[in-house]
Amino acid sequence: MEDHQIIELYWQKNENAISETAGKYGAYCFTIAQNILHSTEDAEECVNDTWLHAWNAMPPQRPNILRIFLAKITRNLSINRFHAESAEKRGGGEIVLVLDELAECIAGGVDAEAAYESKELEQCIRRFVRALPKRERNMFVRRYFFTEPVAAVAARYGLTENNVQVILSRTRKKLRLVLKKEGYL
Amino acid sequence: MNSRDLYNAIGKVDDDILEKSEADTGMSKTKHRRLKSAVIAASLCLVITGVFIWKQSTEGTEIAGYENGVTIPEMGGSLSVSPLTDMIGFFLYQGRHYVQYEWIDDDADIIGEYLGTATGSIDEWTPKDGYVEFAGSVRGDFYAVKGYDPAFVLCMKQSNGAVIYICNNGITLKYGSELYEDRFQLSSHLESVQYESHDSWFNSRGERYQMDSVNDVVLDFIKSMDSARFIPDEAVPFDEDGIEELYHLFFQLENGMTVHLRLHENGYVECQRMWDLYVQVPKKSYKALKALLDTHTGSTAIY
Repeated sequence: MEDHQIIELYWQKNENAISETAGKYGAYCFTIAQNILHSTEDAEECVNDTWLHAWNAMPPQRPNILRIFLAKITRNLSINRFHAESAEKRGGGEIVLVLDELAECIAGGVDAEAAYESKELEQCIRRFVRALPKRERNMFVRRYFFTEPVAAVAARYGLTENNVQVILSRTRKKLRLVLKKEGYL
Repeated sequence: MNSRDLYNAIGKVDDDILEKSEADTGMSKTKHRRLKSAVIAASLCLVITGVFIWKQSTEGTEIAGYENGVTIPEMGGSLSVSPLTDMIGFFLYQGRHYVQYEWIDDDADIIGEYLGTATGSIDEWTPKDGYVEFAGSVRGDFYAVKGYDPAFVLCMKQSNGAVIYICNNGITLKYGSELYEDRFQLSSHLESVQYESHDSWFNSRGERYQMDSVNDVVLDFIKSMDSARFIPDEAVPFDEDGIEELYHLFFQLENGMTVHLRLHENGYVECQRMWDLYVQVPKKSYKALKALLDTHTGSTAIY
């Protein structure tokens, strides 16, 4: 079934919307959740919660890209669930590495606790990501949005893991400079 | 601010950026590396010949210099790199990859000659040798679209409409007219124009307007697009000039197809599903169209 038909089912409050979504995007959302949570059981619960959130969100929302809409919900639910339990208990996983890497962007910042508007930060990140060269941007998104393992990103681009780490590290340095320039550090 | 704040903020990256990044299979790079490795081995035997072959065989696998047009590499490769890519709707026909472009509710008169049946046999676990004629991630009978070159556009029937597929890869485009006229036949089939601001589109508000007629400003804008050279996204100064997307333009054709364009600041125009290819229209045409869109002159809200 096409995405716009699935969205229409949500708008009609037709329960088939959920089974159609699960059939088409279940594996996709599970991968996103599993990358973050490193737990099959938790990832499955997050995916089920994703359908519930989608059900509550449509209407009024009518997403242009259903897949990305669902990806964002799954990612949010997964990170919230991750933080609900300690990293130690969860046994780490990709998200621990990703958060550690992102911490490099803000480490040692002066007045890192200064008040900032999350909306402004989001705008800053959106501008930063959009302005990145294509390959850097795609790697950054794969690593820090989809939380893909470095090995998977390396395989996709035919690079070594070390190469990918170097490229990501340079991008994080750029991000740090932008954050500094915009007054977040 | 902590790393979680940053991670959350990254979660708000624009949908179109996420969609493009996700769609980038990185395969051209892989292919490039494989070719390069093969040639390095060969060059151990015959250096001069090896270098020559390398130069020939790697041509066109990456976006090249754009003086002679921009080459969009073939999709190629396998989807098995990541399960995240298994949602790309595509199939193979005559060695070309056709990717899903749009859904048309009313398939009144576009279905042409039956050309074949896609088997839907490809998923993320399919090895490279499974990428054969008629294989793809979708299944069903496919047809030519009446009046259009099947090397560019095909369609599949659905119960209450049709899905359009285009071959948006493995091609080189130099001027806008090669896409908009030679392939989409925009000028000769244009019926109406709708538009929506980026802000409305991004936030799914659906605040769409329709122009009361296809006026001279629009026709001049199309002419300007046709005569502009294609450039790759690397050549667009998103960074230095802070170029941002302003409007989505929906050029509706008589047969129900839509040419969906994204208008950026300074007259940069990108066509939906033809990722990373831009034309820049001259300032005069850009400003004239933008003025109409900003003020909704000669347009009616349809939301």
